Amino acid sequence: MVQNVAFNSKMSQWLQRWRLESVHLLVYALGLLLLCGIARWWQGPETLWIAVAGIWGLVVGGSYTLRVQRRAHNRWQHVAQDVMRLSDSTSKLFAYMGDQFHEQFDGVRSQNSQTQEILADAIEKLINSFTDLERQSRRQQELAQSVAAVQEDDSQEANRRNFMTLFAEIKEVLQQFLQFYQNNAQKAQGLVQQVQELSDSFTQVQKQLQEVAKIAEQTNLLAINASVEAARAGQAGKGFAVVAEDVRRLSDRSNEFNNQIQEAVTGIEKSLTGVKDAIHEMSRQESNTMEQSRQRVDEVMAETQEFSQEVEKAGQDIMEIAGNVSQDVNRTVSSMQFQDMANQLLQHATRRIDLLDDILQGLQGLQWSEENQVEPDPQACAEHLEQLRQALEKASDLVQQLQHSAVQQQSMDTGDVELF
Amino acid sequence: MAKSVLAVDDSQSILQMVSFTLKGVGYQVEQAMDGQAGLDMAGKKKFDLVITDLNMPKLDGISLVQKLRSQPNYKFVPILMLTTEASNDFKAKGKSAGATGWLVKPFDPDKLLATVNKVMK
Repeated sequence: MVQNVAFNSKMSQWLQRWRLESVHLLVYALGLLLLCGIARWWQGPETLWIAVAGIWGLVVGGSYTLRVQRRAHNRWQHVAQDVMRLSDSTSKLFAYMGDQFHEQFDGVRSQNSQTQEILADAIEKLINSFTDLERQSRRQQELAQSVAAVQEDDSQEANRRNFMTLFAEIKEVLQQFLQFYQNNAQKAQGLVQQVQELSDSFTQVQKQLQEVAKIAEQTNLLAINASVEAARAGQAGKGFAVVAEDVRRLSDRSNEFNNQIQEAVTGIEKSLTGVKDAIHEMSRQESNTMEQSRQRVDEVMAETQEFSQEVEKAGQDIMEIAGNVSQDVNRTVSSMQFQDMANQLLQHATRRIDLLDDILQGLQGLQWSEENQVEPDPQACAEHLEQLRQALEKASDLVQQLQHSAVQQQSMDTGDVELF
Repeated sequence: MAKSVLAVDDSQSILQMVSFTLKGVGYQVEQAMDGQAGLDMAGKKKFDLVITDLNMPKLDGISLVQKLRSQPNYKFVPILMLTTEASNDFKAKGKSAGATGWLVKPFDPDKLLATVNKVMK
């Protein structure tokens, strides 16, 4: 292009110089005519000199003009041949450039297309993975919430209340159970006391039985004495002896019955002692069990409360994680749109390549010289230059039209929203 | 009954992201890959909302909005433009064609949802 402009400038320069020297020749001719006119007007002896001077001027002027013309012609021939060679070279250069660039443009188009296909394939797989991941994450979150019985907002509070109510109910039942045990232990203590009192009563009975035995023994002794006195009385004491014998027998039976009662009371006393010991042992064991149970209940309640707090904390953590996942999902959805923007940019780049290819092919199609041209033709040359100028002007317009790209974003920051 | 949305875009990824965002909150989303396909679908069924791209093959977004607005069914249906184009000239063309709003890609899902909920009221 620069070469063409230089060539154009050089040619114009030579043409101007050729016109200037033609004007010089004309001035010389006019001067000669003027001298001839003056000589004729004077008609004196100077006429000859004037005529000689005129002839000399004509010869010198003509000779100079012819020399200038010849030199200009030679130079024009030289320049014209340069022009023809330059045109030929330019034509070949554009043909070469066209072929080379066309090949490169095809390569760029092919790579753009390949990139678009790779992006489309990648984004499809990315989106599938993302949606699957999001679905599984959501499911995991639901399960975690279900296990932790943690829901959002009101339901979370309601579930917490439900849990605390259940916790209080369990605690109350266990306390009632312990109270029941405590009452039983107190009753057992009362029972032991009553059995002890019963046992004491029987001990008292035994003492009384011993008194009865003593009475029976004294009665027996009295009966024996009575029998002895009856025998001493003889016949008169026979009746009394019978009575004394009956009294003695009654005393023996009384003593025997007393022994039987004493044995029975002793057996009862032993049984009562066994019962008392059993109740006492049972009461002691119940007290121990109750104390251990109370401690265990308190421990379990504390552990349950701690577990409840841990569950609540886990629920809060799950909700926090869910919130983070939600933000990540939003960021991913925004970022996933890169393929659309990259695709549009690649399409725009391809359109620019197509345009450059068209421009180059247009330049390749321009005629730079006439076929089989031997002599230079300034008019044809000027026409070719005009065609080149028009082609470049058209190309410039087309390039301007593709200056605007639909994608102006420099990052993946999300765009604005405007409602009309 | 779920509100129906027609999403028109020549980018499959954008269509999927729009569907993902709106289906997640209960909207029913149908997709068209170019302006003409969107126009055909809108002719067969009345949607409650149309979201369209600007630069698409066969029929561009502005022309789609103009054609939809010329139909009685879509005279008052909200139409959102969702495009990478952010110049005021194009926004003015969209507004003049009858678009309800203009969202510049890449869109933020929360903003898209908020905008959709607002224009659907």
